[in-house]
Amino acid sequence: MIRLENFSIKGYKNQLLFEEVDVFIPSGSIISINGMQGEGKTRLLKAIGLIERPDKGAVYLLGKNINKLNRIEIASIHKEIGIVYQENYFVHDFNLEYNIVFPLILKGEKIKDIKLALKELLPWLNLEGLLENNISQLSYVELKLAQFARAIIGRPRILLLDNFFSDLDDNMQKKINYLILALNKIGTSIIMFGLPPKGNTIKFNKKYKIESKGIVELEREPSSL
Amino acid sequence: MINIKIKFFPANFSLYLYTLLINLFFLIIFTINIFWIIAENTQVSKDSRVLLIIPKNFIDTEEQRDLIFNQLSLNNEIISVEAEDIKKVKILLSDILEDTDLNEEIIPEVYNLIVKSEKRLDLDGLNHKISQIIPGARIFSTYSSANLYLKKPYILLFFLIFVFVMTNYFLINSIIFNIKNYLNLSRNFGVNDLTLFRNLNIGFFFIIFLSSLFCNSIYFLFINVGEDSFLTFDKNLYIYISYYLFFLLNFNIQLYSFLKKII
Repeated sequence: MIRLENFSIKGYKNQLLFEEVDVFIPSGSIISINGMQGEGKTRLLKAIGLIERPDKGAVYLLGKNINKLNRIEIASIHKEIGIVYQENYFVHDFNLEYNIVFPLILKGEKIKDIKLALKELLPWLNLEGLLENNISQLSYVELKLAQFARAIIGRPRILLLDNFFSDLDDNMQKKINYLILALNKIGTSIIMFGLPPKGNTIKFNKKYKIESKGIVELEREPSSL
Repeated sequence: MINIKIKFFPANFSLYLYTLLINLFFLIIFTINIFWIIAENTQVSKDSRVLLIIPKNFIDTEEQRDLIFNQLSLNNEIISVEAEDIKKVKILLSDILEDTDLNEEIIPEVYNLIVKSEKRLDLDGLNHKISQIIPGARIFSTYSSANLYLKKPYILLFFLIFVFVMTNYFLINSIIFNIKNYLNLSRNFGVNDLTLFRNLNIGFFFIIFLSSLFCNSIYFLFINVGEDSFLTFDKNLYIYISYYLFFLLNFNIQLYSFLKKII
């Protein structure tokens, strides 16, 4: 579960983006959080993804208050989070394959298992022929999909997607939806920041909108679980 | 291969090549410099002497002299004592006394002390003890630590250390800048800091080890020309180990300060 308690965070220009927000997201939910550009979606993702600390309040992830954890405990929570960044964020001296698998290798996963997971995942994302390619040789959309592959290959318990669907074609959006549903079935909580995917494949547990330095629930949909 | 690249060498290949070449260059210069210092020290040791002078104006000197020698034998730094020939002492004194003819009865006894290290010999303490046995008996050293020719390699060494620290600081800085995405993403995906430190240290240790291996090979191929040469691996080993520690310390401090900035 994810819980924000009296959560406040400032923007890079020191303006207040969120003020004393309280949100509770149960485990296994699929959530959409939308908002205008510059309203703080990415900052919120970074706070939930433990990349940035809130200026005030607390973030609870998997039942633990992040403010009270040491570096090793934070690393163990990071293991459970997969993030797709808005900007394409890669190691430029690695090829595509290395970029997707390097967190797993550093975490000590077996090469055999990693290769098997890659073999299963990449055809879904049309990336199987690009593994040897350098990052600079890939298109923007291919890089987005590679980020998605890197985020889900470790089967995270929380998946954060920042403005992910905006540049994907309908066919790819459908494939991604299936993958997201499959992940959700094994208990992964998914939070999508920005526009949700097209079509009605995914039933959101909750939809939120960022408004007046707060997070407002938009509508309720029956759970698809 | 995938394991090695990802775990130990995540930076650009050219940076590892620069690290190897720069450190090879420094190791060669450092080793030459250190051996220059050793050579200068050895030269000074050969030219310098530690002398014991026992005046002749004392009754029953024989027994007292033995007491002094017993005292000297207790000192671990003194290897042996050799009596200087009286004619040699006379020659030495002739410069001071000009044409005055000295009776051998009044010429003091002079002994050459063979010592391990003049620097470690406590002359004041020894003089205090022996002057109590025979008043006027004294040990003095012609060793001079302030020779200008000995200062030169030390000045060069300090200059080299400064250049080495600065060059490696900027080199390591650019390496960490080059792998900042790797470090950030590793952290964001739950890789432990200790794993990062361990892996990167292994990688850089390997590069510096290669540098020292090349450095030693260069000595054996081009510089080491005879049995007298002291450019041997066992002596270089101390230099290499100090060098590894210095480089890795520099690297770890910078890596630690980088990781501390991220949550």
